[in-house]
Amino acid sequence: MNTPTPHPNTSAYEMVIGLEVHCQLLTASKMFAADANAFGSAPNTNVGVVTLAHPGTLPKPNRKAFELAIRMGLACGCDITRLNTFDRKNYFYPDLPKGYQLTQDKTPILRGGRIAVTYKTADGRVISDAVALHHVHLEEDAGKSVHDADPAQTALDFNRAGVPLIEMVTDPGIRSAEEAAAFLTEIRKLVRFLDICDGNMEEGSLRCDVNVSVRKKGETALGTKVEIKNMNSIRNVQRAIEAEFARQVATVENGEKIQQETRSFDADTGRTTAMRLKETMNDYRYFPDPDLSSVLVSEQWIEAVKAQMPELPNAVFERFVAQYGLSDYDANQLTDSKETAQYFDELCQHTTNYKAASNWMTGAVRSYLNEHPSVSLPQFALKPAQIAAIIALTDSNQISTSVATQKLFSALMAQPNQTPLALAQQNGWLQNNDSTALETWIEEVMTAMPDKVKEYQKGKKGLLGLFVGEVMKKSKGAADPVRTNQLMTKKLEKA
Amino acid sequence: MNIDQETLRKVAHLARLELRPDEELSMQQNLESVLSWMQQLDEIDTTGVEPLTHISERTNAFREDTAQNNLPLQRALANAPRSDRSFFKVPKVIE
Repeated sequence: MNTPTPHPNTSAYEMVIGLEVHCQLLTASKMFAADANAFGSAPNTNVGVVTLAHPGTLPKPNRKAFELAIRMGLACGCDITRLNTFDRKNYFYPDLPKGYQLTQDKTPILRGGRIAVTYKTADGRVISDAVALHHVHLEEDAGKSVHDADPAQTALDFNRAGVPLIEMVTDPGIRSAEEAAAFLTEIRKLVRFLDICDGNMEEGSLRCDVNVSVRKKGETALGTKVEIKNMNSIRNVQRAIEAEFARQVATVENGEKIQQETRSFDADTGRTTAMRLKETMNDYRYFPDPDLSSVLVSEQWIEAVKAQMPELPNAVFERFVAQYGLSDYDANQLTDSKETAQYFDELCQHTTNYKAASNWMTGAVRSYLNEHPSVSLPQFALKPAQIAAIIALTDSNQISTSVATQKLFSALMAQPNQTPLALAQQNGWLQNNDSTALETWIEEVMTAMPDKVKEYQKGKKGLLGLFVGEVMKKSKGAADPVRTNQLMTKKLEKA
Repeated sequence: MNIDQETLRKVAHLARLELRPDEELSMQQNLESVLSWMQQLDEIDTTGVEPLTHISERTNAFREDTAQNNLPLQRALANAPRSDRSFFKVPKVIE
Protein backbone atom coordinates (compact mmCIF):
# COMPACT_ATOMS: atom_id res chain seq x y z
CA MET A 1 0.00 0.00 0.00
CA ASN A 2 1.68 3.19 -1.07
CA THR A 3 0.33 6.66 -0.62
CA PRO A 4 1.53 9.54 -2.75
CA THR A 5 4.20 11.63 -1.04
CA PRO A 6 2.62 14.86 0.21
CA HIS A 7 3.68 18.05 -1.47
CA PRO A 8 5.87 20.26 0.74
CA ASN A 9 3.28 23.07 0.62
CA THR A 10 0.40 20.80 1.69
CA SER A 11 -0.11 22.60 4.99
CA ALA A 12 -1.14 25.77 3.12
CA TYR A 13 -4.25 24.00 1.80
CA GLU A 14 -7.47 22.71 3.29
CA MET A 15 -9.78 20.08 1.93
CA VAL A 16 -13.47 20.56 1.40
CA ILE A 17 -15.45 17.33 1.45
CA GLY A 18 -19.05 16.43 0.81
CA LEU A 19 -20.36 12.88 0.97
CA GLU A 20 -23.17 11.07 -0.79
CA VAL A 21 -24.10 7.98 1.17
CA HIS A 22 -26.44 5.37 -0.30
CA CYS A 23 -28.20 3.02 2.11
CA GLN A 24 -30.18 0.07 0.78
CA LEU A 25 -33.31 -0.13 2.88
CA LEU A 26 -34.20 -3.29 4.79
CA THR A 27 -37.50 -3.98 3.09
CA ALA A 28 -38.81 -7.36 1.99
CA SER A 29 -39.67 -6.12 -1.50
CA LYS A 30 -38.43 -3.50 -3.94
CA MET A 31 -39.16 0.23 -4.08
CA PHE A 32 -41.80 0.10 -6.81
CA ALA A 33 -42.40 -3.62 -7.35
CA ALA A 34 -43.04 -6.76 -5.32
CA ASP A 35 -39.84 -8.63 -6.33
CA ALA A 36 -37.83 -9.78 -3.32
CA ASN A 37 -35.14 -7.47 -1.97
CA ALA A 38 -32.47 -9.96 -0.95
CA PHE A 39 -28.68 -10.01 -1.24
CA GLY A 40 -26.87 -13.07 -2.52
CA SER A 41 -29.68 -14.75 -4.49
CA ALA A 42 -28.88 -16.53 -7.76
CA PRO A 43 -28.64 -13.98 -10.62
CA ASN A 44 -31.94 -12.69 -12.01
CA THR A 45 -34.14 -14.64 -9.63
CA ASN A 46 -35.44 -11.55 -7.80
CA VAL A 47 -36.84 -9.88 -10.89
CA GLY A 48 -40.30 -9.23 -12.22
CA VAL A 49 -41.98 -7.45 -15.11
CA VAL A 50 -41.77 -3.98 -13.53
CA THR A 51 -38.06 -4.31 -12.78
CA LEU A 52 -37.37 -5.55 -16.30
CA ALA A 53 -39.43 -2.67 -17.73
CA HIS A 54 -41.80 -4.81 -19.71
CA PRO A 55 -44.22 -2.64 -21.69
CA GLY A 56 -47.47 -1.78 -19.94
CA THR A 57 -46.22 -2.35 -16.40
CA LEU A 58 -46.55 0.34 -13.77
CA PRO A 59 -44.62 1.11 -10.58
CA LYS A 60 -46.31 1.16 -7.19
CA PRO A 61 -44.44 2.58 -4.19
CA ASN A 62 -43.53 0.56 -1.13
CA ARG A 63 -45.02 2.06 2.06
CA LYS A 64 -42.28 0.61 4.26
CA ALA A 65 -39.53 2.39 2.32
CA PHE A 66 -41.12 5.73 3.22
CA GLU A 67 -41.40 4.72 6.85
CA LEU A 68 -37.73 3.78 7.04
CA ALA A 69 -36.73 7.09 5.46
CA ILE A 70 -38.95 8.98 7.92
CA ARG A 71 -37.28 7.06 10.75
CA MET A 72 -33.89 8.34 9.59
CA GLY A 73 -35.31 11.86 9.41
CA LEU A 74 -36.62 11.69 12.97
CA ALA A 75 -33.25 10.42 14.18
CA CYS A 76 -31.29 13.21 12.48
CA GLY A 77 -33.68 16.09 13.13
CA CYS A 78 -34.48 16.64 9.43
CA ASP A 79 -37.50 18.47 8.06
CA ILE A 80 -39.83 15.87 6.61
CA THR A 81 -41.28 16.76 3.23
CA ARG A 82 -45.06 16.52 3.18
CA LEU A 83 -45.71 16.38 -0.56
CA ASN A 84 -43.42 13.87 -2.22
CA THR A 85 -43.12 13.28 -5.94
CA PHE A 86 -40.74 11.19 -8.03
CA ASP A 87 -38.71 12.24 -11.03
CA ARG A 88 -37.17 10.35 -13.89
CA LYS A 89 -33.41 10.64 -14.16
CA ASN A 90 -32.82 9.67 -17.76
CA TYR A 91 -29.74 7.87 -18.97
CA PHE A 92 -28.92 4.82 -21.02
CA TYR A 93 -26.91 2.19 -19.29
CA PRO A 94 -27.63 -1.53 -19.47
CA ASP A 95 -28.05 -1.91 -15.71
CA LEU A 96 -31.16 0.28 -15.96
CA PRO A 97 -33.79 -1.45 -18.09
CA LYS A 98 -36.29 1.44 -18.09
CA GLY A 99 -33.76 3.94 -19.39
CA TYR A 100 -34.34 6.10 -16.32
CA GLN A 101 -33.97 5.87 -12.59
CA LEU A 102 -36.89 6.88 -10.37
CA THR A 103 -35.59 9.36 -7.81
CA GLN A 104 -36.66 12.46 -5.90
CA ASP A 105 -35.00 15.37 -7.65
CA LYS A 106 -37.46 18.10 -6.63
CA THR A 107 -38.86 16.89 -3.34
CA PRO A 108 -36.30 14.95 -1.31
CA ILE A 109 -38.17 13.32 1.57
CA LEU A 110 -35.81 14.86 4.13
CA ARG A 111 -34.08 18.23 4.26
CA GLY A 112 -31.53 19.53 6.75
CA GLY A 113 -30.67 17.68 9.92
CA ARG A 114 -27.31 16.75 11.37
CA ILE A 115 -25.29 13.85 12.67
CA ALA A 116 -22.97 14.29 15.66
CA VAL A 117 -19.43 12.97 15.27
CA THR A 118 -16.43 12.67 17.57
CA TYR A 119 -13.06 11.94 16.03
CA LYS A 120 -9.34 12.26 16.49
CA THR A 121 -7.44 14.48 14.06
CA ALA A 122 -4.16 13.41 12.44
CA ASP A 123 -2.30 15.51 15.05
CA GLY A 124 -4.13 13.84 17.93
CA ARG A 125 -6.78 16.38 18.93
CA VAL A 126 -10.23 15.02 19.82
CA ILE A 127 -13.02 16.97 18.12
CA SER A 128 -16.77 16.75 18.67
CA ASP A 129 -18.78 18.30 15.89
CA ALA A 130 -21.88 17.72 13.81
CA VAL A 131 -22.04 17.09 10.08
CA ALA A 132 -24.92 18.98 8.45
CA LEU A 133 -27.08 17.06 6.00
CA HIS A 134 -28.21 18.90 2.90
CA HIS A 135 -31.02 16.49 2.08
CA VAL A 136 -31.94 12.81 1.90
CA HIS A 137 -33.94 11.42 -1.02
CA LEU A 138 -35.57 8.12 -1.84
CA GLU A 139 -34.70 6.31 -5.06
CA GLU A 140 -34.27 2.90 -6.63
CA ASP A 141 -30.98 1.08 -7.07
CA ALA A 142 -29.68 -0.05 -10.48
CA GLY A 143 -28.82 -3.61 -11.52
CA LYS A 144 -25.33 -5.05 -11.41
CA SER A 145 -23.01 -5.33 -14.40
CA VAL A 146 -20.44 -8.11 -14.47
CA HIS A 147 -17.62 -7.17 -16.82
CA ASP A 148 -15.05 -9.87 -16.20
CA ALA A 149 -17.11 -13.06 -16.61
CA ASP A 150 -17.13 -12.96 -20.40
CA PRO A 151 -14.41 -11.32 -22.54
CA ALA A 152 -16.78 -10.13 -25.24
CA GLN A 153 -19.96 -9.28 -23.38
CA THR A 154 -21.20 -7.64 -20.22
CA ALA A 155 -23.44 -9.83 -18.07
CA LEU A 156 -26.33 -8.29 -16.18
CA ASP A 157 -28.01 -9.26 -12.95
CA PHE A 158 -31.16 -7.28 -12.18
CA ASN A 159 -31.71 -8.58 -8.63
CA ARG A 160 -30.50 -5.24 -7.28
CA ALA A 161 -32.46 -3.15 -9.80
CA GLY A 162 -35.30 -1.44 -8.00
CA VAL A 163 -34.03 -2.05 -4.46
CA PRO A 164 -35.05 0.95 -2.31
CA LEU A 165 -32.30 3.37 -1.32
CA ILE A 166 -31.99 6.53 0.63
CA GLU A 167 -29.21 8.79 -0.59
CA MET A 168 -27.91 11.08 2.13
CA VAL A 169 -26.14 14.15 0.82
CA THR A 170 -24.06 16.26 3.22
CA ASP A 171 -23.20 19.92 2.93
CA PRO A 172 -19.58 20.39 1.80
CA GLY A 173 -18.67 21.04 5.44
CA ILE A 174 -16.36 18.13 6.15
CA ARG A 175 -12.74 19.23 6.54
CA SER A 176 -10.71 16.07 7.02
CA ALA A 177 -10.54 12.42 6.05
CA GLU A 178 -10.87 11.54 9.76
CA GLU A 179 -14.11 13.51 10.04
CA ALA A 180 -15.48 11.80 6.91
CA ALA A 181 -14.61 8.39 8.36
CA ALA A 182 -16.21 9.28 11.71
CA PHE A 183 -19.35 10.45 9.91
CA LEU A 184 -19.62 7.19 7.97
CA THR A 185 -19.01 5.15 11.11
CA GLU A 186 -21.80 7.08 12.83
CA ILE A 187 -24.20 6.58 9.90
CA ARG A 188 -23.47 2.88 9.83
CA LYS A 189 -24.15 2.64 13.56
CA LEU A 190 -27.31 4.70 13.27
CA VAL A 191 -28.86 2.79 10.36
CA ARG A 192 -28.16 -0.47 12.17
CA PHE A 193 -29.73 0.74 15.42
CA LEU A 194 -32.69 2.05 13.44
CA ASP A 195 -33.05 -1.21 11.51
CA ILE A 196 -33.21 0.59 8.22
CA CYS A 197 -30.09 -0.79 6.53
CA ASP A 198 -27.61 -3.54 7.41
CA GLY A 199 -24.71 -1.15 6.82
CA ASN A 200 -22.56 -3.70 5.01
CA MET A 201 -20.09 -1.80 2.82
CA GLU A 202 -18.45 -4.91 1.39
CA GLU A 203 -21.76 -6.18 0.06
CA GLY A 204 -22.60 -2.67 -1.08
CA SER A 205 -25.70 -2.14 1.04
CA LEU A 206 -23.97 1.00 2.32
CA ARG A 207 -22.05 2.92 -0.35
CA CYS A 208 -20.30 6.22 -0.32
CA ASP A 209 -19.23 8.65 -3.03
CA VAL A 210 -16.95 11.47 -2.00
CA ASN A 211 -16.68 14.97 -3.44
CA VAL A 212 -13.30 16.52 -2.73
CA SER A 213 -11.89 19.93 -3.58
CA VAL A 214 -8.97 21.91 -2.21
CA ARG A 215 -8.39 25.57 -1.55
CA LYS A 216 -5.74 27.71 0.09
CA LYS A 217 -6.47 28.17 3.78
CA GLY A 218 -8.36 31.40 4.35
CA GLU A 219 -10.06 31.37 0.95
CA THR A 220 -13.84 31.17 0.89
CA ALA A 221 -14.54 30.26 -2.74
CA LEU A 222 -14.82 26.53 -3.42
CA GLY A 223 -12.31 24.83 -5.71
CA THR A 224 -13.25 22.52 -8.58
CA LYS A 225 -14.69 19.35 -7.10
CA VAL A 226 -13.80 15.83 -8.05
CA GLU A 227 -16.06 12.88 -7.30
CA ILE A 228 -14.50 9.63 -6.12
CA LYS A 229 -16.26 6.28 -6.33
CA ASN A 230 -15.64 2.60 -5.60
CA MET A 231 -14.61 2.44 -1.98
CA ASN A 232 -15.82 -0.64 -0.15
CA SER A 233 -14.78 0.21 3.39
CA ILE A 234 -14.61 3.22 5.67
CA ARG A 235 -10.84 2.83 5.81
CA ASN A 236 -10.68 3.06 2.02
CA VAL A 237 -12.87 6.17 1.99
CA GLN A 238 -10.35 7.76 4.33
CA ARG A 239 -7.40 6.62 2.19
CA ALA A 240 -9.09 7.81 -1.01
CA ILE A 241 -9.66 11.29 0.45
CA GLU A 242 -6.05 11.53 1.62
CA ALA A 243 -4.73 10.39 -1.76
CA GLU A 244 -7.02 12.73 -3.68
CA PHE A 245 -6.11 15.68 -1.46
CA ALA A 246 -2.42 15.03 -2.08
CA ARG A 247 -3.01 14.73 -5.83
CA GLN A 248 -5.02 17.95 -6.03
CA VAL A 249 -2.52 19.93 -3.97
CA ALA A 250 0.30 18.70 -6.21
CA THR A 251 -1.72 19.57 -9.32
CA VAL A 252 -2.42 23.12 -8.12
CA GLU A 253 1.17 23.61 -6.96
CA ASN A 254 2.35 22.57 -10.42
CA GLY A 255 0.25 25.37 -11.85
CA GLU A 256 -2.22 23.00 -13.48
CA LYS A 257 -6.01 23.10 -13.35
CA ILE A 258 -8.15 20.56 -11.50
CA GLN A 259 -10.48 18.86 -13.97
CA GLN A 260 -14.07 18.40 -12.91
CA GLU A 261 -14.33 14.66 -13.22
CA THR A 262 -15.23 11.35 -11.62
CA ARG A 263 -12.32 9.28 -10.37
CA SER A 264 -12.11 5.74 -9.10
CA PHE A 265 -10.16 4.65 -6.02
CA ASP A 266 -7.89 1.66 -6.39
CA ALA A 267 -7.36 0.04 -2.98
CA ASP A 268 -4.27 -1.83 -4.21
CA THR A 269 -2.33 1.19 -5.41
CA GLY A 270 -3.90 3.62 -2.92
CA ARG A 271 -4.47 6.09 -5.76
CA THR A 272 -7.40 7.57 -7.61
CA THR A 273 -7.62 7.33 -11.39
CA ALA A 274 -9.80 9.25 -13.84
CA MET A 275 -13.06 7.58 -14.92
CA ARG A 276 -14.85 10.28 -16.91
CA LEU A 277 -14.84 14.00 -17.40
CA LYS A 278 -17.79 16.15 -16.42
CA GLU A 279 -18.26 17.48 -19.99
CA THR A 280 -18.88 13.99 -21.26
CA MET A 281 -21.16 13.20 -18.35
CA ASN A 282 -24.84 12.74 -18.92
CA ASP A 283 -27.52 15.33 -19.07
CA TYR A 284 -30.19 13.62 -17.00
CA ARG A 285 -33.23 15.67 -18.12
CA TYR A 286 -35.17 15.15 -14.90
CA PHE A 287 -38.93 15.41 -15.14
CA PRO A 288 -41.81 14.29 -12.88
CA ASP A 289 -42.72 10.66 -13.40
CA PRO A 290 -46.26 10.51 -14.79
CA ASP A 291 -46.76 6.90 -13.64
CA LEU A 292 -46.54 7.66 -9.94
CA SER A 293 -49.02 9.75 -8.04
CA SER A 294 -47.82 11.90 -5.14
CA VAL A 295 -47.18 10.69 -1.64
CA LEU A 296 -48.46 12.86 1.20
CA VAL A 297 -46.79 12.41 4.55
CA SER A 298 -49.23 13.43 7.28
CA GLU A 299 -48.46 14.49 10.84
CA GLN A 300 -50.36 11.42 11.95
CA TRP A 301 -48.15 9.12 9.91
CA ILE A 302 -45.00 10.73 11.30
CA GLU A 303 -46.36 10.22 14.84
CA ALA A 304 -47.05 6.56 14.08
CA VAL A 305 -43.48 6.07 12.82
CA LYS A 306 -42.15 7.88 15.89
CA ALA A 307 -44.15 5.58 18.17
CA GLN A 308 -42.42 2.57 16.63
CA MET A 309 -38.90 4.01 16.56
CA PRO A 310 -36.22 1.65 17.81
CA GLU A 311 -34.10 3.10 20.62
CA LEU A 312 -31.41 5.46 19.30
CA PRO A 313 -27.76 4.81 20.22
CA ASN A 314 -27.65 7.90 22.46
CA ALA A 315 -30.75 6.81 24.33
CA VAL A 316 -29.27 3.35 24.85
CA PHE A 317 -26.06 4.97 26.13
CA GLU A 318 -27.95 7.06 28.66
CA ARG A 319 -30.06 4.12 29.74
CA PHE A 320 -26.96 1.98 30.30
CA VAL A 321 -25.45 4.66 32.52
CA ALA A 322 -28.70 5.14 34.48
CA GLN A 323 -30.02 1.59 34.64
CA TYR A 324 -26.78 -0.37 35.02
CA GLY A 325 -24.61 2.27 36.68
CA LEU A 326 -21.95 2.00 33.98
CA SER A 327 -19.21 4.57 33.44
CA ASP A 328 -19.48 6.71 30.31
CA TYR A 329 -16.51 4.85 28.91
CA ASP A 330 -18.05 1.40 29.38
CA ALA A 331 -21.46 2.56 28.18
CA ASN A 332 -19.83 4.00 25.08
CA GLN A 333 -18.09 0.71 24.30
CA LEU A 334 -21.27 -1.26 24.85
CA THR A 335 -23.34 0.92 22.52
CA ASP A 336 -20.72 0.76 19.83
CA SER A 337 -22.97 -1.56 17.84
CA LYS A 338 -26.55 -2.65 18.11
CA GLU A 339 -25.53 -6.31 18.54
CA THR A 340 -23.28 -5.48 21.47
CA ALA A 341 -25.98 -3.39 23.14
CA GLN A 342 -28.59 -6.11 22.64
CA TYR A 343 -26.29 -8.82 23.92
CA PHE A 344 -25.44 -6.76 26.98
CA ASP A 345 -29.09 -6.01 27.68
CA GLU A 346 -29.87 -9.70 27.52
CA LEU A 347 -26.90 -10.55 29.70
CA CYS A 348 -28.24 -8.14 32.32
CA GLN A 349 -31.52 -10.08 32.33
CA HIS A 350 -29.53 -12.99 33.74
CA THR A 351 -27.25 -11.25 36.21
CA THR A 352 -27.38 -8.20 38.42
CA ASN A 353 -23.60 -7.85 38.57
CA TYR A 354 -23.64 -5.27 35.75
CA LYS A 355 -20.05 -4.23 36.27
CA ALA A 356 -18.88 -7.83 35.82
CA ALA A 357 -21.18 -8.18 32.80
CA SER A 358 -19.64 -5.07 31.27
CA ASN A 359 -16.12 -6.35 31.99
CA TRP A 360 -16.87 -9.64 30.27
CA MET A 361 -18.26 -7.87 27.22
CA THR A 362 -15.42 -5.38 26.84
CA GLY A 363 -12.80 -7.93 27.90
CA ALA A 364 -12.92 -11.61 27.05
CA VAL A 365 -15.83 -11.47 24.61
CA ARG A 366 -14.48 -8.51 22.66
CA SER A 367 -10.95 -9.99 22.49
CA TYR A 368 -12.38 -13.23 21.16
CA LEU A 369 -14.36 -11.39 18.48
CA ASN A 370 -11.34 -9.26 17.55
CA GLU A 371 -9.26 -12.39 17.12
CA HIS A 372 -11.98 -14.03 15.03
CA PRO A 373 -13.13 -11.36 12.56
CA SER A 374 -15.42 -13.81 10.78
CA VAL A 375 -17.51 -14.26 13.93
CA SER A 376 -19.91 -11.55 15.02
CA LEU A 377 -22.03 -11.49 18.17
CA PRO A 378 -25.16 -13.04 16.64
CA GLN A 379 -23.08 -16.12 15.72
CA PHE A 380 -21.03 -16.08 18.92
CA ALA A 381 -21.15 -19.57 20.47
CA LEU A 382 -21.89 -18.46 24.03
CA LYS A 383 -25.33 -17.12 24.79
CA PRO A 384 -25.73 -14.32 27.36
CA ALA A 385 -27.11 -16.84 29.89
CA GLN A 386 -23.81 -18.75 29.79
CA ILE A 387 -21.73 -15.66 30.47
CA ALA A 388 -24.14 -14.89 33.31
CA ALA A 389 -23.57 -18.42 34.66
CA ILE A 390 -19.80 -17.78 34.74
CA ILE A 391 -20.41 -14.50 36.56
CA ALA A 392 -22.55 -16.38 39.10
CA LEU A 393 -19.65 -18.79 39.72
CA THR A 394 -17.17 -15.98 40.36
CA ASP A 395 -19.66 -13.98 42.42
CA SER A 396 -20.19 -16.95 44.74
CA ASN A 397 -16.41 -17.48 44.90
CA GLN A 398 -16.74 -20.94 43.41
CA ILE A 399 -14.07 -20.08 40.89
CA SER A 400 -11.60 -17.23 40.79
CA THR A 401 -11.92 -14.48 38.21
CA SER A 402 -8.54 -15.38 36.77
CA VAL A 403 -9.53 -19.03 36.25
CA ALA A 404 -12.81 -17.85 34.76
CA THR A 405 -11.21 -15.57 32.19
CA GLN A 406 -8.07 -17.56 31.49
CA LYS A 407 -9.36 -21.13 31.54
CA LEU A 408 -13.10 -21.55 31.83
CA PHE A 409 -13.95 -19.10 29.04
CA SER A 410 -11.87 -20.90 26.40
CA ALA A 411 -12.97 -24.31 27.68
CA LEU A 412 -16.56 -23.22 27.28
CA MET A 413 -15.84 -21.85 23.79
CA ALA A 414 -14.54 -25.32 22.90
CA GLN A 415 -17.61 -27.03 24.39
CA PRO A 416 -20.40 -24.46 24.27
CA ASN A 417 -23.04 -27.06 25.10
CA GLN A 418 -21.61 -27.67 28.56
CA THR A 419 -22.54 -25.55 31.54
CA PRO A 420 -19.77 -23.48 33.12
CA LEU A 421 -20.31 -25.30 36.42
CA ALA A 422 -19.91 -28.77 34.88
CA LEU A 423 -16.71 -27.74 33.10
CA ALA A 424 -15.26 -26.20 36.25
CA GLN A 425 -16.06 -29.39 38.12
CA GLN A 426 -14.56 -31.68 35.48
CA ASN A 427 -11.35 -29.67 35.37
CA GLY A 428 -11.04 -29.26 39.13
CA TRP A 429 -11.25 -25.47 38.90
CA LEU A 430 -13.78 -25.09 41.68
CA GLN A 431 -12.23 -23.28 44.58
CA ASN A 432 -12.05 -25.03 47.78
CA ASN A 433 -13.96 -22.59 49.78
CA ASP A 434 -13.95 -24.54 52.91
CA SER A 435 -11.01 -22.84 54.53
CA THR A 436 -9.50 -26.08 55.79
CA ALA A 437 -8.07 -27.04 52.39
CA LEU A 438 -6.69 -23.58 51.88
CA GLU A 439 -5.33 -23.52 55.41
CA THR A 440 -3.65 -26.89 54.86
CA TRP A 441 -1.91 -25.60 51.71
CA ILE A 442 -0.84 -22.45 53.51
CA GLU A 443 0.56 -24.39 56.45
CA GLU A 444 2.40 -26.75 54.11
CA VAL A 445 3.98 -23.80 52.31
CA MET A 446 4.97 -22.16 55.60
CA THR A 447 6.47 -25.38 56.94
CA ALA A 448 8.44 -25.88 53.75
CA MET A 449 10.01 -22.39 53.93
CA PRO A 450 10.80 -21.57 57.55
CA ASP A 451 13.64 -19.16 56.67
CA LYS A 452 11.44 -17.12 54.32
CA VAL A 453 8.74 -16.95 56.97
CA LYS A 454 11.27 -15.48 59.42
CA GLU A 455 12.46 -12.95 56.85
CA TYR A 456 8.84 -11.92 56.27
CA GLN A 457 8.26 -11.48 59.94
CA LYS A 458 11.40 -9.33 60.18
CA GLY A 459 9.78 -6.97 57.68
CA LYS A 460 10.42 -8.35 54.19
CA LYS A 461 6.72 -8.08 53.32
CA GLY A 462 7.41 -8.48 49.61
CA LEU A 463 7.73 -12.23 50.17
CA LEU A 464 3.94 -12.50 50.44
CA GLY A 465 3.72 -12.91 46.66
CA LEU A 466 6.10 -15.87 46.80
CA PHE A 467 3.99 -17.65 49.46
CA VAL A 468 0.74 -16.99 47.62
CA GLY A 469 2.33 -18.25 44.40
CA GLU A 470 3.32 -21.50 46.11
CA VAL A 471 -0.22 -21.97 47.42
CA MET A 472 -1.59 -21.36 43.92
CA LYS A 473 0.77 -24.03 42.60
CA LYS A 474 -0.37 -26.52 45.22
CA SER A 475 -4.00 -25.79 44.43
CA LYS A 476 -3.27 -26.10 40.69
CA GLY A 477 -4.72 -22.63 40.24
CA ALA A 478 -7.98 -23.40 41.97
CA ALA A 479 -7.38 -21.28 45.04
CA ASP A 480 -8.90 -17.82 45.03
CA PRO A 481 -5.86 -15.50 45.07
CA VAL A 482 -7.69 -12.80 47.03
CA ARG A 483 -8.75 -15.18 49.79
CA THR A 484 -5.33 -16.83 49.80
CA ASN A 485 -3.73 -13.41 50.23
CA GLN A 486 -5.95 -12.55 53.16
CA LEU A 487 -5.58 -15.87 54.91
CA MET A 488 -1.82 -16.07 54.27
CA THR A 489 -1.27 -12.61 55.74
CA LYS A 490 -3.29 -13.57 58.80
CA LYS A 491 -1.31 -16.78 59.34
CA LEU A 492 2.05 -15.06 58.87
CA GLU A 493 1.20 -12.33 61.36
CA LYS A 494 0.15 -14.94 63.92
CA ALA A 495 3.03 -17.33 63.49
CA MET B 1 -38.27 28.75 -30.79
CA ASN B 2 -35.06 28.03 -32.62
CA ILE B 3 -33.32 24.69 -32.51
CA ASP B 4 -29.82 24.96 -33.85
CA GLN B 5 -27.92 22.04 -35.30
CA GLU B 6 -25.82 21.58 -32.19
CA THR B 7 -28.87 21.30 -29.94
CA LEU B 8 -30.51 18.92 -32.38
CA ARG B 9 -27.47 16.64 -32.41
CA LYS B 10 -27.19 16.74 -28.65
CA VAL B 11 -30.84 15.81 -28.16
CA ALA B 12 -30.51 13.05 -30.76
CA HIS B 13 -27.45 11.69 -28.99
CA LEU B 14 -29.17 11.73 -25.58
CA ALA B 15 -32.05 9.74 -27.10
CA ARG B 16 -29.56 7.46 -28.84
CA LEU B 17 -31.01 8.37 -32.23
CA GLU B 18 -28.80 8.34 -35.30
CA LEU B 19 -29.99 10.98 -37.74
CA ARG B 20 -28.81 10.96 -41.33
CA PRO B 21 -27.67 14.42 -42.49
CA ASP B 22 -30.65 14.63 -44.86
CA GLU B 23 -33.04 14.02 -41.94
CA GLU B 24 -31.67 16.82 -39.80
CA LEU B 25 -33.45 19.76 -41.41
CA SER B 26 -36.93 18.26 -41.25
CA MET B 27 -36.35 17.05 -37.67
CA GLN B 28 -35.19 20.53 -36.75
CA GLN B 29 -38.36 22.04 -38.20
CA ASN B 30 -40.57 19.45 -36.50
CA LEU B 31 -39.05 20.12 -33.13
CA GLU B 32 -39.39 23.86 -33.59
CA SER B 33 -43.05 23.59 -34.44
CA VAL B 34 -43.77 21.34 -31.45
CA LEU B 35 -41.97 23.74 -29.15
CA SER B 36 -43.74 26.78 -30.60
CA TRP B 37 -47.06 25.07 -30.10
CA MET B 38 -46.19 24.33 -26.46
CA GLN B 39 -44.98 27.89 -26.06
CA GLN B 40 -48.57 29.07 -26.26
CA LEU B 41 -48.88 27.90 -22.67
CA ASP B 42 -46.61 30.77 -21.69
CA GLU B 43 -49.50 33.10 -22.36
CA ILE B 44 -51.26 31.90 -19.23
CA ASP B 45 -50.39 33.73 -16.03
CA THR B 46 -49.43 31.03 -13.53
CA THR B 47 -48.28 33.36 -10.75
CA GLY B 48 -48.99 31.68 -7.41
CA VAL B 49 -50.09 28.39 -8.98
CA GLU B 50 -48.31 25.32 -7.63
CA PRO B 51 -46.84 23.08 -10.34
CA LEU B 52 -49.02 20.08 -11.08
CA THR B 53 -47.03 16.88 -11.17
CA HIS B 54 -49.87 14.46 -11.68
CA ILE B 55 -53.32 14.54 -13.20
CA SER B 56 -54.78 12.10 -10.69
CA GLU B 57 -55.82 13.53 -7.37
CA ARG B 58 -55.30 10.21 -5.74
CA THR B 59 -52.32 10.14 -3.37
CA ASN B 60 -50.54 7.45 -1.37
CA ALA B 61 -51.34 4.58 -3.74
CA PHE B 62 -49.06 2.27 -1.78
CA ARG B 63 -48.09 -1.33 -2.02
CA GLU B 64 -47.56 -3.14 1.28
CA ASP B 65 -44.05 -4.52 1.72
CA THR B 66 -44.46 -8.19 0.84
CA ALA B 67 -42.24 -10.03 -1.63
CA GLN B 68 -44.10 -11.91 -4.32
CA ASN B 69 -44.42 -12.36 -8.10
CA ASN B 70 -40.77 -12.97 -8.87
CA LEU B 71 -40.50 -14.23 -12.42
CA PRO B 72 -38.99 -17.68 -12.85
CA LEU B 73 -35.46 -17.24 -14.25
CA GLN B 74 -36.26 -18.84 -17.61
CA ARG B 75 -39.23 -16.58 -18.18
CA ALA B 76 -37.26 -13.54 -17.06
CA LEU B 77 -34.61 -14.28 -19.69
CA ALA B 78 -37.07 -15.40 -22.38
CA ASN B 79 -37.26 -12.10 -24.27
CA ALA B 80 -33.60 -11.20 -24.01
CA PRO B 81 -31.84 -10.97 -27.37
CA ARG B 82 -28.80 -12.52 -25.70
CA SER B 83 -28.47 -14.40 -22.44
CA ASP B 84 -26.86 -17.40 -20.87
CA ARG B 85 -28.50 -19.55 -18.20
CA SER B 86 -28.32 -16.85 -15.54
CA PHE B 87 -27.48 -13.50 -17.04
CA PHE B 88 -28.72 -11.04 -19.62
CA LYS B 89 -25.87 -10.35 -22.03
CA VAL B 90 -25.14 -7.06 -23.74
CA PRO B 91 -22.25 -5.71 -25.81
CA LYS B 92 -19.26 -5.01 -23.58
CA VAL B 93 -19.59 -1.79 -21.61
CA ILE B 94 -16.68 -0.57 -19.58
CA GLU B 95 -17.02 2.44 -17.35
